[in-house]
Amino acid sequence: MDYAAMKEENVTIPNKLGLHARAAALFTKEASAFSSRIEVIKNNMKANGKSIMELLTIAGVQGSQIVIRVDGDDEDQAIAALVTLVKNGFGE
Amino acid sequence: MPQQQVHILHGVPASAGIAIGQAVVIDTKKIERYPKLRVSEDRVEDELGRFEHAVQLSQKQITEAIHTLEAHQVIREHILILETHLLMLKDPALVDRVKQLITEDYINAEWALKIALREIEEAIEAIDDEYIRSRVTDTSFVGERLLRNLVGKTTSGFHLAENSIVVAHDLSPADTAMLNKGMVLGFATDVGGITSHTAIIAHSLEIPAVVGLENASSLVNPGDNLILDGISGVVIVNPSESQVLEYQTRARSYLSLELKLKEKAKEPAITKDGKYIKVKGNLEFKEEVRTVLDHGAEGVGLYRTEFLYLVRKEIPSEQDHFEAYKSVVETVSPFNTVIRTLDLGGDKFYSALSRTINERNPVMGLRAIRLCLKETDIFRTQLRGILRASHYGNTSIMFPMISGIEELERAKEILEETKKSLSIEGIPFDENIRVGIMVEVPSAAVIADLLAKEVDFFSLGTNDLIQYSLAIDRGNEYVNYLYEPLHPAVLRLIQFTVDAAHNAGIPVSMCGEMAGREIYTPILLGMGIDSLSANAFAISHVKEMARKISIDNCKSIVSHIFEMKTASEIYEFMSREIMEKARDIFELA
Repeated sequence: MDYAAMKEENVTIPNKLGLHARAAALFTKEASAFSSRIEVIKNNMKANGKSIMELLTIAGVQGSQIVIRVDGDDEDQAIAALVTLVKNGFGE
Repeated sequence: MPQQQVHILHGVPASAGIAIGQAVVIDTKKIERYPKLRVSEDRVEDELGRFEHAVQLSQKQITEAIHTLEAHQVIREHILILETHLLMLKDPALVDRVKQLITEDYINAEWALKIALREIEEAIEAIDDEYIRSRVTDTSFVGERLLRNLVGKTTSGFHLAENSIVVAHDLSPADTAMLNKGMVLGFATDVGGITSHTAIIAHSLEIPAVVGLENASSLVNPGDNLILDGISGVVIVNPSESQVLEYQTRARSYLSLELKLKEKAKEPAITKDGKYIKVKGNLEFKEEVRTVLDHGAEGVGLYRTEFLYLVRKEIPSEQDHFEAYKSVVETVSPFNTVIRTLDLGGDKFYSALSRTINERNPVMGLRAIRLCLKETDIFRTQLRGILRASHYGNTSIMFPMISGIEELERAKEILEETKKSLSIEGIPFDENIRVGIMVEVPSAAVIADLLAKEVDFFSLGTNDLIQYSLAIDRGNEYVNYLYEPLHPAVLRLIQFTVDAAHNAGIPVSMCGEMAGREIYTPILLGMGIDSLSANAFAISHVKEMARKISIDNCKSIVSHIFEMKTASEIYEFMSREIMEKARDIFELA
């Protein structure tokens, strides 16, 4: 990732069940719609935002802080869409 | 060709109808053995291709399953699970990792897949959150499907010819949905009961099914000729020519009977001696209301409300309740809709809220009305929703699991308080809304005389009444043979409840499974039950049975069977009796 050009934002996972299968599925679907590289970071763990399985393994429970990091041509739209999705508690 | 052995297998009839066709045996047991091979550099491309093919095939199977489920309006939850599986199949953590292992370690696709899956499963199992951890089952489901497609086990199974009868150890909702409806004539499984997924899906696809056959999947060979009788629960393997002819005739008369009954479904059921028997429908989702009415229901005798709590992660709001109930009562009116308040077990209820509760025996634990009387805010919210809906159509309220007077008094007290606050707020509702209880705990049946003075109606919930009074868990394969609706103790509890209700001048309905099985109809009417509420598919059958009998005759049947000592004695008598009364309904059974 080109760390100079990327975008990143901190968000807190607000919903009760956290980044569980359905939430992770929604995140993956949304992320896959963009061409940018997308990473989700929690503590020292890093997941590919387009991989539902990696997202599950970072254990994003309610209240945990995550960093969404995006790098690519459509990074502005991607980060806006993903931050909104998380902030809205994955529509739950 | 050697003479093929005729086998007759007995199971549980789970979806009515008769199918005659060829066995397709689907191996749904876990794959234990698979090849682990090192491959040479020039075979790497082949292995990558095989894996790619398995991924595509799996995606295709799941996508088709989703379409089938959507077309048949199966519970949304099942579809969401499959959509998650589809994403996992596209997941780089799985797909790219497998390809990497094949390319760098020179191993075959099966082995690489197993390694990649184990890495993912280990990572998920290490998570400190039980809910997320439980999703490991999804990855193993996806892994299992890929592995099957890799070793070529599924391809023959799911490529069905015409006239296929699917035989399997068990079928998951995804397995079942994957089968092309036009090709599959019926299902036969080793395990399962009448409430299993196989039964539910077979019902919604309107094809016959027999479950609980124990060892059908190992006894039946692919391509065997089969007769599947979903009415009596019999499967005949390699039938003789005369058996095939016999069942062809039966299948034809079954179809013409179904057609005839469907035509008459909307006509009222009037017994030979002129008594009108109201037959109502049971409802789980508001979307089913049209189906229930189309099958001839004269009202809804049981509207279950649990789905409201299970489909969302938050407690349903008053508006959620109101909208779900209003749409049903409006559609059903002028007929009555009986809305049953929350009947969830504490385990399910709290886990939906991400809270846990430890109960050693949840069936006898904090559930239904007990839960509502503990979580009174949630109860009040539901009652407000029901009361507000009652302004829009003929509505009744029913409390489940009442076991004594205090519970009923407290529930009614909360209802009165709720009514009062609605009045103060000026929100309209039916002030004379009728209030009843489910009689399903044996203690309630025994004090039915006391309870009858406090309510407007009773509804007998036989599934729980039978389980609790005979002390057997229906889901327990070791004791479920003791689940006997015709047990003399059960019949006595029902009779006592009916008499107590009539002495107090209130009507009794029955909404349990017994109400939907026509073999019981003469007994129920003979005992004096005023109305029956059954699943959509059973309504026309129950009505037709009621038309063929007279209440007088039913009463003498009842006094006769009350002298009998065992359920099997009563069952045999009823089978003979029914054969005389309603030959055309029962000659198939």
